[in-house]
Amino acid sequence: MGIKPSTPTPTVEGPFPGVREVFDAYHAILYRFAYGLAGQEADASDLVQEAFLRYARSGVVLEQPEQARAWLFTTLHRLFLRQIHQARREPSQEEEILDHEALPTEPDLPRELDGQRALAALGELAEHYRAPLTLFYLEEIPYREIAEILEIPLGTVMSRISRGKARLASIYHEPRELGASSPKP
Amino acid sequence: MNPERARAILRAWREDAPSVETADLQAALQQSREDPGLQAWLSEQRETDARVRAALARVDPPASLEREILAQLEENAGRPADSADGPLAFPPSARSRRPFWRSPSILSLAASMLVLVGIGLFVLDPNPLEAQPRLSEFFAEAHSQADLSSDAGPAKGGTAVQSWTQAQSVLHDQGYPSPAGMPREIARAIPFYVRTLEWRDSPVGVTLVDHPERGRAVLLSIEAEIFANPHDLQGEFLRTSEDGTPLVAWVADGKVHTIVFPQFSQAPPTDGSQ
Repeated sequence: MGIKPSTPTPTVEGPFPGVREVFDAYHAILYRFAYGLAGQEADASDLVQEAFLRYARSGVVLEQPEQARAWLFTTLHRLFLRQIHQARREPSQEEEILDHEALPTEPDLPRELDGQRALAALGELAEHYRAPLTLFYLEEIPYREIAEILEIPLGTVMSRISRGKARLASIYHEPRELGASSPKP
Repeated sequence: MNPERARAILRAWREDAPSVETADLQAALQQSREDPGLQAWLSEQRETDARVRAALARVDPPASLEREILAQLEENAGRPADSADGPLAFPPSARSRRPFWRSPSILSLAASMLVLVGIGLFVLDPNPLEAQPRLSEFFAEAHSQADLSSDAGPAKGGTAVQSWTQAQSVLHDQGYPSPAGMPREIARAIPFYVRTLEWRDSPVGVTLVDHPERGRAVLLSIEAEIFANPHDLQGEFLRTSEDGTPLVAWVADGKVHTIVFPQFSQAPPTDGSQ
């Protein structure tokens, strides 16, 4: 990623990319990603706060300004993964199996979809679908950056988006109250 | 291409992402132009995506969050860089900095260490106490210290990994040298565990790997600049350590990387790089 530990520490008033500059540029979109992952304001806020603090303390030197975004997204995603792995020590077998499954044939999201309800359905997805799909809907993030952030191959990103959208539709069509439970790990 | 496959491909398509337009995607897009039903479906998909995207775009961080973060960043402004507080702190906490001679694992290896170091002193280096160590010392000492490849399995205090990328990431995030520039044959191995150690006050990244033919092995990565014999640090080279164990070493990313396959008498081929 072209990021390496170094000094001096980037500071709020420091040289490019200063923390304040990075904060102003990316905190809103980073929060949306965190919200898509965590599904609630408090957890999303904690993730964003921790990611920025780590950025400020890390002393990273970035070759391109866009790398700050990738660094923050990657860090936030790892923080989130660490949280859910603490609850689930072993990675799900489902993830690897799903990567080799046939392509989905589930129903699609309805045309009259309510966006808020779709966000609630997003929180019902397993993490390995939730993260790429949230990034997919954050239009500013190119596919290759999604792969970099999630540390998975580009092809896997594409297949998870496709399957994630199909799963999202299945959840959306389920006759129950969405958003009532916490996001799945 | 059947319509279901075309739909599966097109579900992941975003109009602003031409860089990933593969042949399959091109074919699916072409099919959508020729198939009115598929075209209508794709149009609905785009509309639905736009609604979800718009809903997500309306999610704004709470105003209090901005104040809290900026206040903490201001507090943090004077702090020195702290690589241990990087993107991910895997257990145990990064940079334990325990001298290698205090490691429990080294106690069980003390006898062999003495033999190895003794041979090293006699054969390879008439002046081992010079300020900058020599590669031969590193080979002799550090690999013995890091020899976690026995049947006892990995020692405590590391992190299980499943790929080179993950191994590199874990070590990098802890501020330790990570594997780079693996020769092709080495890259075939699958990392399964990383840990760290200190060798003469220098951080060493330790990656345990399983090679499909050669079994379990230990890869060490250390900053190249600490060594006194820079003439040795050229490209990739095959060594035999003092106990006769073949090892492969190479220099990449400013670090020396060495790997031993203690269960085999033949060193792995060294042709090609990753």
